[in-house]
Amino acid sequence: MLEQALHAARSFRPLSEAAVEALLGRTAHAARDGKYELYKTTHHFDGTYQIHNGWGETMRVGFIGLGAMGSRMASRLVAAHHDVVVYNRTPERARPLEQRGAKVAATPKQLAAGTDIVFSSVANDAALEQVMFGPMVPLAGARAGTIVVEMKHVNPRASRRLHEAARSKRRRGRSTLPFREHVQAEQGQS
Amino acid sequence: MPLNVMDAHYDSFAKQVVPVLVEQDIAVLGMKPMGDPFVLVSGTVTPWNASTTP
Repeated sequence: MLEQALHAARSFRPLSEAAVEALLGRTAHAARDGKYELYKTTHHFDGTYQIHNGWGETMRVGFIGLGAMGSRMASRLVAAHHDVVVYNRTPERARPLEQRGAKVAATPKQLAAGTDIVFSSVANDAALEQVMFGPMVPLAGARAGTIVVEMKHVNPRASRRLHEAARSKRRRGRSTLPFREHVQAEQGQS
Repeated sequence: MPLNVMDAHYDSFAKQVVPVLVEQDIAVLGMKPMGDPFVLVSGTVTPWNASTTP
């Protein structure tokens, strides 16, 4: 497979303009109303739309950390009509989401009260430490059964610590694989 | 960058979006140049010629 890919890369030659024209000539009729480009004409690839309409249920979601990734993911959850509560250490960053319909919590603990699932997307281990293990931690506010999902690249030790802290309180702590591009998050493709 | 062979004819990313990205010096990562399987489902092209390079 690798050899095949290397061969393809090494032997690549761009098409001539005439060849591109000929190729586009073959697809002109089939392509004219977008019916084979479902991402332009349908909700086929729109994950947010599918989840909302497929399950038909609104979740109570807490979102901690509204940086480049978090703000976009939280924004998608609001757009999908979930009941979203957000928290950010710098409160000003929560304002745009508040204007779109999210509630703003004063502390992580307050955020976690009454939510089904808490996502955290904070900058680094130190920030995770502060929001997850400080005096107003979400785990203290969460009821048993709440799912806690850490989204960012954090040290495995911090991730394990969160898992153990959650288990001792009978909440479920998870660390996800890192998400991809910010734009993908905004477009609901992650 | 490969773009699917349907794009040029309907609501074109190559015509409407790529020039703006180039102007603003933003890189583009192409995905699913066969429109998942659907460009091939059309029967107009084979995998060997299912994308173009503008």
